[in-house]
Amino acid sequence: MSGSERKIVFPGEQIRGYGSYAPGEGVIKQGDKLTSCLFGILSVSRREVSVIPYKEVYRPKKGDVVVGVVVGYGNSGWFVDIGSYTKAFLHVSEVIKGRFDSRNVELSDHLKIGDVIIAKVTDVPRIGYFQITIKGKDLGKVTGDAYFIKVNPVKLRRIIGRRGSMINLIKDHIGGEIILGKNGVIVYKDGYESFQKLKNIINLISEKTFASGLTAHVAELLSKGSGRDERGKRQ
Amino acid sequence: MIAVRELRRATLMDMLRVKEAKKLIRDNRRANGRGFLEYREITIKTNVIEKAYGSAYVSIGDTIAIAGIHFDVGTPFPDSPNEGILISEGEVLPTASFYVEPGPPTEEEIELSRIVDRGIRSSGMIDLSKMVVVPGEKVLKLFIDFNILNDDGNLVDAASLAAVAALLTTKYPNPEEVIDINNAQELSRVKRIPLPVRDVPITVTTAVVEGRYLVDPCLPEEAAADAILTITHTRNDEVCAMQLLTGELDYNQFFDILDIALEKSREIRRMLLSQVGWSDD
Amino acid sequence: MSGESGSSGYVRRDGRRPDELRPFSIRTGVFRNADGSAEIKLGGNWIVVAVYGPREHFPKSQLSQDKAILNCRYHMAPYSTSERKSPKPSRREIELSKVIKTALERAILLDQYPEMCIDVYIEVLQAAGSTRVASITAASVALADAGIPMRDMVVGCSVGKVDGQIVLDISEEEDKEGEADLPIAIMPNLRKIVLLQMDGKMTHDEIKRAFELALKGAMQLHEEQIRALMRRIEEMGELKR
Repeated sequence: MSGSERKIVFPGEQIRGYGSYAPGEGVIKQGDKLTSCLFGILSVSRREVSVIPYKEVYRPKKGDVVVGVVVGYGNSGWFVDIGSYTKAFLHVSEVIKGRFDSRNVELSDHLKIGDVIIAKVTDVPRIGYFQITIKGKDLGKVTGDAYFIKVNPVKLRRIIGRRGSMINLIKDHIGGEIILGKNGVIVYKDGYESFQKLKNIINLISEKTFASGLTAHVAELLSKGSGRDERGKRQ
Repeated sequence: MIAVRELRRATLMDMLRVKEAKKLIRDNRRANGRGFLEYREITIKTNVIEKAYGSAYVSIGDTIAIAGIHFDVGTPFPDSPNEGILISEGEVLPTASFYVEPGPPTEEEIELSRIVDRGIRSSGMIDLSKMVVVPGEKVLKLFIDFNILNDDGNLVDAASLAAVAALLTTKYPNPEEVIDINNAQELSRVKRIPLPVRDVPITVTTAVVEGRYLVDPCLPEEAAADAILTITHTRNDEVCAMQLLTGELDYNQFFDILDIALEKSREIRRMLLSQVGWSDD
Repeated sequence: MSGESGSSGYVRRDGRRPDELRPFSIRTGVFRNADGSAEIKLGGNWIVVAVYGPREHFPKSQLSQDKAILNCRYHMAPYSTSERKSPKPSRREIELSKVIKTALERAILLDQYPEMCIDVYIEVLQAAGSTRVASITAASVALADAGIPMRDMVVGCSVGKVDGQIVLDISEEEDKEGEADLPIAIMPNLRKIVLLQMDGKMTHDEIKRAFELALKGAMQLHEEQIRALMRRIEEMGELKR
């Protein structure tokens, strides 16, 4: 994301020059005028104008992979906090494989309050909790030692980088498994020292999101002998 | 009052009345053939509560307000030793509508009280220096209490009119005879003289609905309004209180409503004074 | 513009010209935990605002299924005024909470978050006159900082009549001793009034002149709102080496 043609917009500001475009996220159409309703950066793509917010509360979309924490038991499933403006609901049928007798299910045998899960969003109703599942590849309870970093979901774009340039750079230098949840939670499985390095890099990207030359700076920091994990090779 | 505007738990009849109001306005009409700049029927009766020093019952359409005036003795505020004390408070009673429950005052009730208070206080209607018994030590306290008994919209105008009508017909204890009086009970036996009044502030509430200006909005019109602005004028055509109750206004809408409110305030004042038996002095 | 308000050479109690604002500054991102936050200093006023939300709300019975509800609390600290003020909300604080909430509701796109609530907490740490308009100006910045979608920013400014002169941004002293006080708040791009009150006595002509002056003051404060938000982006664009 280069710095030069970046246009910062504010709530209420009219967006000129894209009259025929459709309003995307963060943009509303009032009459024939396009207006920004967020503080952030203007983003234009094909036929749509949207605003990338400078900060946001995570809004799930169907298909997002998120990291959540089980916070309660319901009648037929679990309530999960995914750091959004409301909770998610995980139905038993999206957890238990094969056939089961719903009368005999003890929810806490499968997932307990406090368990961390990697889930996929299956439904985002207008009212009520989001629906999620942990049936699928790479989904399920997070087991073993894991560390967590929470960033504002808007930062993920920068953490991933154009065509994965930033995240691949990070993965090359810091071993271990790194999982990025669309809700801004990063799961890291490996040693404590590597985790600290990762955390520092992630915090830097979060705080200096709009700096030009950020990728190069991160590359520099990583290769200054601080990027290798204890085992000296990446997973 | 405002709960209905939100229509969260609105009753069927109220929701239908709102739909009807909007449709009527689009057809250039109001319910009951009322003009856009016309008030509903106003009834004013004063001295309706014997035990109070002054009182008034006002109805504007189906909205009913009662105001009662009481006095007590007290010490003046330290920064105004030669002024009596004026306290106004009002409540929307649970009798007023489906949505009102007994309890501590709501934001809207507090706002209503303070708007009524501002109109009376800022207009200088009551000369607080005529309420001093012993300068710096003892003054009269004037309590204006009002209640809304039925809410069909425009509580501000009804409450203000009731308060002002009550004050215009209040007789108060002659301060010269209050020197040895120390409590409200003794005070009630002191000889009373007419309360000197220097102005007659009149509040006019205007709603903007579907871009049109409506004075004296009834309840469904309030619920349908894009904005509601209340303005109080003195006898000299000065504004002494304003409050945007809800909504948003174009700049020119604000100026238009100022003119409308002035015009109506003169009419209402004439009507009030003739009802109460005063000439427009 | 005619020099009516500023022409006479009238000097105010604090040395200002009639059309002069007190020194002001706005900062955003002042509280880590809040979803959005801002601070405003205007003359002796020091006011902070924190925004939490959108988030779940209890009791559920108060929720709306078609839009978020906005809670707004305007509160003055006991040490904010020259005489200690009880921490319990006064009737004035309750009224101001209501008028500020009513104004912000016009700007926020509440229907994007049905059944949720947005909490705006305004704390006046030091009061020096015109606190409600300063508060709403900071609240708008805090809401933008929190990423809450709005039709427009909201910015407020007060005008008054002191010694017969129409003046901008009244101080505490001017509020006490002046003849009238008119706080307003607008949505600057949409050109709509969302907060309007008046206490005192003014003719129609004075009100119109005062209003024009208030708009000028509000636009200056709006520019500072934008600067405060821009500074955040700038801070995020500087790499220290």
